[in-house]
Amino acid sequence: MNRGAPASARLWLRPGLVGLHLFAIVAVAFCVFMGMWQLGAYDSRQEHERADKQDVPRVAFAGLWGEDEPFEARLNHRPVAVEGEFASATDQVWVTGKQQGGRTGAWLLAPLIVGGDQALLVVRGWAPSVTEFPPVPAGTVTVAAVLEPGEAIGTAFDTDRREIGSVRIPALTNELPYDLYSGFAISTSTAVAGGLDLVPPPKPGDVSWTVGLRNLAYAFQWWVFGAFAAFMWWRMSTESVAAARPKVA
Amino acid sequence: MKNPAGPLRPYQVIATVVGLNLLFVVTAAIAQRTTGDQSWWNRNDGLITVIDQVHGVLFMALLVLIAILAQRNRWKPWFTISTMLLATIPLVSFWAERRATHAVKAGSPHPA
Repeated sequence: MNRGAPASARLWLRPGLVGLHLFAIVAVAFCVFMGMWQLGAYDSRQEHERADKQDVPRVAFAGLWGEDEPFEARLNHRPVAVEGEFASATDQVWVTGKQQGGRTGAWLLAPLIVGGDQALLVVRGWAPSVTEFPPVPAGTVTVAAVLEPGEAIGTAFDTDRREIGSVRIPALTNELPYDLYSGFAISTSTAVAGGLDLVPPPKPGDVSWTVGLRNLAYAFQWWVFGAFAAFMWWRMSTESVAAARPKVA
Repeated sequence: MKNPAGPLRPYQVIATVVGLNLLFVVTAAIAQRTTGDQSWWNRNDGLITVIDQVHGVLFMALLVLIAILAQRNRWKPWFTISTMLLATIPLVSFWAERRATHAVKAGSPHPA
């Protein structure tokens, strides 16, 4: 620096070095941009996952889930409006061993016919103890409900008492004269609860920060490359200037 | 003065591993987009993600080794930059490694 700023500036702005400066600017800008892009991809993946799990608008059941389609992740905890007609009250089933408010009771499960012999099992509500089946609402009804996958194996179906230990679709398919969907719905409509307490649908879990982790990792890698490009630029330029200095002096 | 060819062997090893790894990363990326959900490539997305990350980290190590080689052998900036950039192109990366190795062995202070 004792040679004075103008001489130093001239060394830094030699044609060859100006090319290096421009290249460094482009390289760093490119890395920062790519990092931002990957971070954006990470954000949108998180957003989609969140939307898949909750905070999604209620949609019509018809058109969302076709006949004989498997229960896919996109249906999990999905709020829907199901239009259909309840099967006769005697087709209902009690699902025993269900806790609510610290007490063990039973879910009232009713087949809702949504077309032909296609039926969706709907949890109408919770009762502290098994009683007579409440009557079903007559005619076509629209039920606000949340879709859930079928439950794991529980106590076997008791034909006389019409009780089962879990909403196990394959077991219930054998007992009901309908073509059942491979998941069920928990009703949030008081109108069809038959005087029972509504069952609060399970809260979907929080979205893990690891969803879209690949994009997050790429974002950081791009920024490391950008920092490295800046570091290389600094070393190459200072070396080049130092090497050129004696010739000028 | 430190031995200019000192980091050559580690550079050659890492460059070859990164080059092979790059071939896998590119193949997997294409295969995941062109095959169905049930193909091996899409069923093993987690494994491929890990391999992709390993590639990223090894590539960083490769850049550092190239930078050390460049300094000890007084490479021109463009030779250094092109050696780094060519390492990102499948197959061409192997040629770039040969070129850099040749430059170090020739001991030329300013290879073209």
